[in-house]
Amino acid sequence: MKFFERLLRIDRKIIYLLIAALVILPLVRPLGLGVKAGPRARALFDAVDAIPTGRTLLISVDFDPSSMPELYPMLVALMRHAFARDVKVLLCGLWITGAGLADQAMRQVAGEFRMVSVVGTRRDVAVTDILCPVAADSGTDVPVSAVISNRGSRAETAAVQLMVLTGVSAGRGLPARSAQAKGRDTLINIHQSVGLARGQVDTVVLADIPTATLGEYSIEVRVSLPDDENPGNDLRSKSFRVTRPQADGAVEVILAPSGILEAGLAVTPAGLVANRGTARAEIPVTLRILRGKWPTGTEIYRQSVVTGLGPGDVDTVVFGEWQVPSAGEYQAVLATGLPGDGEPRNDTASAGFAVREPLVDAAVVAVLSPVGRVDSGVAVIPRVGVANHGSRRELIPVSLNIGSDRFDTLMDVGPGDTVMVRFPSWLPVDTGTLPVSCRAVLAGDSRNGNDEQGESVRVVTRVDAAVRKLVVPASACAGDSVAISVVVANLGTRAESVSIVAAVLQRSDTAWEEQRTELLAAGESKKLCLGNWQPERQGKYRVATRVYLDGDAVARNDTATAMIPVTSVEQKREARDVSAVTVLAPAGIIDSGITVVPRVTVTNLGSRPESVPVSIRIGNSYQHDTIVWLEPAWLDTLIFPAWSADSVGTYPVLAYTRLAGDRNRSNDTALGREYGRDYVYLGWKAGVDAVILGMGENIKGVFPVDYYGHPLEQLPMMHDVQRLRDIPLGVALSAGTPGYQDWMLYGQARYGLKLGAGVTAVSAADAYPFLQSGQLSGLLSGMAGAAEYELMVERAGYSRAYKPAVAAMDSQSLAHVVIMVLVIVGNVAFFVTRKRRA
Amino acid sequence: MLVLFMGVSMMVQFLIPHGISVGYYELTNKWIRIVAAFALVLGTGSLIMHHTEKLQRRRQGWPYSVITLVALLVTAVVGLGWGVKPGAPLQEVIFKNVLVPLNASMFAILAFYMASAAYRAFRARTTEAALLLVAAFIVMLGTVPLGAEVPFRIPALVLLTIGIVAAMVAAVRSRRWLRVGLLPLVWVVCTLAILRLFAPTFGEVKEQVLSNPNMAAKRAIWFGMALGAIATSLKVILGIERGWLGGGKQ
Repeated sequence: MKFFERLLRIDRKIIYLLIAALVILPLVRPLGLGVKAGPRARALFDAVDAIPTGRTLLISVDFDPSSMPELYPMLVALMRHAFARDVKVLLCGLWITGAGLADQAMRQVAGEFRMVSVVGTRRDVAVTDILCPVAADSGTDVPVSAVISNRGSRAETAAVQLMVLTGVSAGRGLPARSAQAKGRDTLINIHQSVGLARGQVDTVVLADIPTATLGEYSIEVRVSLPDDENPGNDLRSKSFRVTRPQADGAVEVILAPSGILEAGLAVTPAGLVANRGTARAEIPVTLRILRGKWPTGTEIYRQSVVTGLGPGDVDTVVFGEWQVPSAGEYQAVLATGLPGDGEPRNDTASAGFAVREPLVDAAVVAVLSPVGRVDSGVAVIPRVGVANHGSRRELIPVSLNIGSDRFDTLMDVGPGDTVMVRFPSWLPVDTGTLPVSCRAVLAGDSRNGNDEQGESVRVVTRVDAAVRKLVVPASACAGDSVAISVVVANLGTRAESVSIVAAVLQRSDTAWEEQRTELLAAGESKKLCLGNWQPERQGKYRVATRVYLDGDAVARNDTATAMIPVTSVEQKREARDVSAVTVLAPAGIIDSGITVVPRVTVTNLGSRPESVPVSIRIGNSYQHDTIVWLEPAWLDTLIFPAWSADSVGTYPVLAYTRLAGDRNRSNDTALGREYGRDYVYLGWKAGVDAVILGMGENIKGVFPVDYYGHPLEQLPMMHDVQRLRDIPLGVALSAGTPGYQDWMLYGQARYGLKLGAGVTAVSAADAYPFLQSGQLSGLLSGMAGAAEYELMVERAGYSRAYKPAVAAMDSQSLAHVVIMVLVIVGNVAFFVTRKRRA
Repeated sequence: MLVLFMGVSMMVQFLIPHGISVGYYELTNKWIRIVAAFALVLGTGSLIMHHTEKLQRRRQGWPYSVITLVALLVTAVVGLGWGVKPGAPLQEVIFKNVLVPLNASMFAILAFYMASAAYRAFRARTTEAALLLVAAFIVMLGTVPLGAEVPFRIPALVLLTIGIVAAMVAAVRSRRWLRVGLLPLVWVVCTLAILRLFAPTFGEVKEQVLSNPNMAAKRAIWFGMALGAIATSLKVILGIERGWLGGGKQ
């Protein structure tokens, strides 16, 4: 046993060398162990995918270079995903040492999307599934189909081979030639071809297999494609068993009698019976009812019927009527009695039920109306809730008293039901407080305590005038005549004479004022034109209006204001500005051989409609021009003729507008994703929790300038992102504290920020409770999570860029396995030597 | 008194959505951020004092203090002299060529230490240690793609077979022939049970381990921590706990 003792004292340098070799080996020669997207990573991917185009994804970079291998690929993959979907990205960080990493990732991904890089094609066709039953009867034909998917980057035509073997049980992934070597008989060996577009999944009908002999049938489906990159998914096997046809009479459920019944009722016993076998049969079915428990109870009812059922049929079997006797516990037993039944275990079912004496109880659940405060002169529909807690349908007399007024009605209510009773409308006249009481009295009611409910109602007079809307133009030009109108309403309960005042103000000076008095009936709403105002010079003017009414109960609806920017005549003439906003496609890294439809968004920032010439250029080989009509403030997405990515290489993509007289030329060109418009990096700020809380109220308050010193006011993206509530999803990439937990505590709990997280593998276990509680919308754990996300981004066609986490997963897999082997060896050596010493 | 006022007022304002309350909250939030910035100054001061004292008294490991102070000085001079904004040449050199490689190297060599430490220390000496070992085994294998698809029954069968063979050898040596006869029967029964019950893969079993026992334990810890934090906060607000003021006396 010296070997084990030596093993225990093994030099650590050997372990170091072993680990180093196994980490380096897959980096030199990838093993292609494959990564499968898990449900948590999928949930985060779906959450990012669900962000509407043009909205913002917040990414908090809460890690430093020590966690780069795990968290940096997540950051890059998230940004690629967002950019490819035209979702804006807002970056910030709670770790000071992570500030440079966010900057680095941002530059990397923005660089990828500034150009379009065409990479080599990928060829991979796979057998995803074989569709066939697990069992069949001899003599029938078994249809076999295969699900074939094209996981490559271009359309393919692949050969599909189906082999059906009989004799012995199938082994998963067993090659056909080895199956034949083991002496199995080849029943079918056919070939056919299938054409699949990029990403297409198709179900191919292969053959109907005749099943003359009993036993196990093995199916193997193989696809063949020259230069297939992943031969591991080209073969799939399945098996099914062929048996002799047999009938099986099974009791599914006893439909009646069941539950709780009332004594004296007449019940028609019934049950569901099925033939789960493969041959038709006449099945005798017997129902017995016992007083007490089965099988010791006394039989009080027994009846048999015969039903004919085909294979797979289900039928409702009805027996003769049964009069429910006195209260007590009963048992119903339903049984099939088919001779030679294939499965006797499902032949009998029993269910207990109870019989009780009838219950009578009507109750008033609530007085719904009139309660609280009502306006005098406004009719009210009295409503009450009445319930039948008894065991049979009843006609319940309901009476309602409001002060001296009385209402009566009869309601038909089923057992256990609650209904709302509506009485004829009641008109309150005199002001004051009135008692409201409702009674539901039923002969033989077993509980009287719930028959009556009382409330009170206060009748008041309401006085309220309101400004519904201030109608003014959005902008005006000096010298124009501006009509000022207002929609006023009398929300009170009697006719009122309402005074309306409107004024146009510039700072504290009054430029125009008008007053009017109008008689409005109760509930009446009227649009009034108060006059025309002619602005003399340019500037910003405020229009304010107010209604005056003595005793007005609600003050907050008495005023309304609006701003009118007034431009000079020269400005009006010069306000011409159109902008090419974003090149939506092509961008990023794509496969060669595919065609892309170029898409560009353009907007009219000027004050008059324009006919805008727009051009797009991809490298030197593609240029296309078009003209689009844009009203002021319109944003339109233009679609150009398809561009074919034939040659591998990197091409600049440029879109630009060419409007004669455009006053702002700086926004005429769109070149990929642009800082300030498509993404912003806020940087780091001390205070962690206070920073998050501050961002919840006002992001600009916490970060007046971004990481690069630009005032946030000047960044167009930040105009729509004022606070955390404007952000549909945040993802915290955390290596520890502070991290996603701080975002959850302050950003989510207080400001409702929907949150996902990416964490290091060692801290993933901490995040599971938050996933289950729904506080986290998704989770990426460690390098495996990053690899899963990279793969999903690629599979969805968003980016074909290099995937560092996927590349590193082979090394991690091997290192894990070696550590586990070492632990096992260490334990074996430990136990052997310990026993020896003892 | 100040702590009592601030603690109670911040609790109360949370429940009052009035303009004054919101304004007070925003103002306090700004104060917190300013005070947090002061903490950086305090931290730097504390670091300098600690290492200067260590250097003066020539305590064990004092050369490292020299490196710390020199690094602090160089970083400060570079930051103050050439700026810390993106694109500042020296700052970027320090970050990309010193901090990033040092940090990455430090954590990269952890894998080697962990492998060696796991081999030497991860032993099933007690029942608890054995449970920990099994859980770690499942989670480690289930995390990587290589192991996630492996059916759980394979290692279970291997472990069972090793155990039965070891027991057989021991029984033969001690001449307990009845046990020798029974052990193959036990192996057959257990193998059938494993084949029937242990169909899931390691990835699925890992999910179960993390979603059930792990989550139950984590929840309990979180609840305990939350209650402890509330109790400590109340003690600080009410002046019962004054250790945070310094001196360590209550």
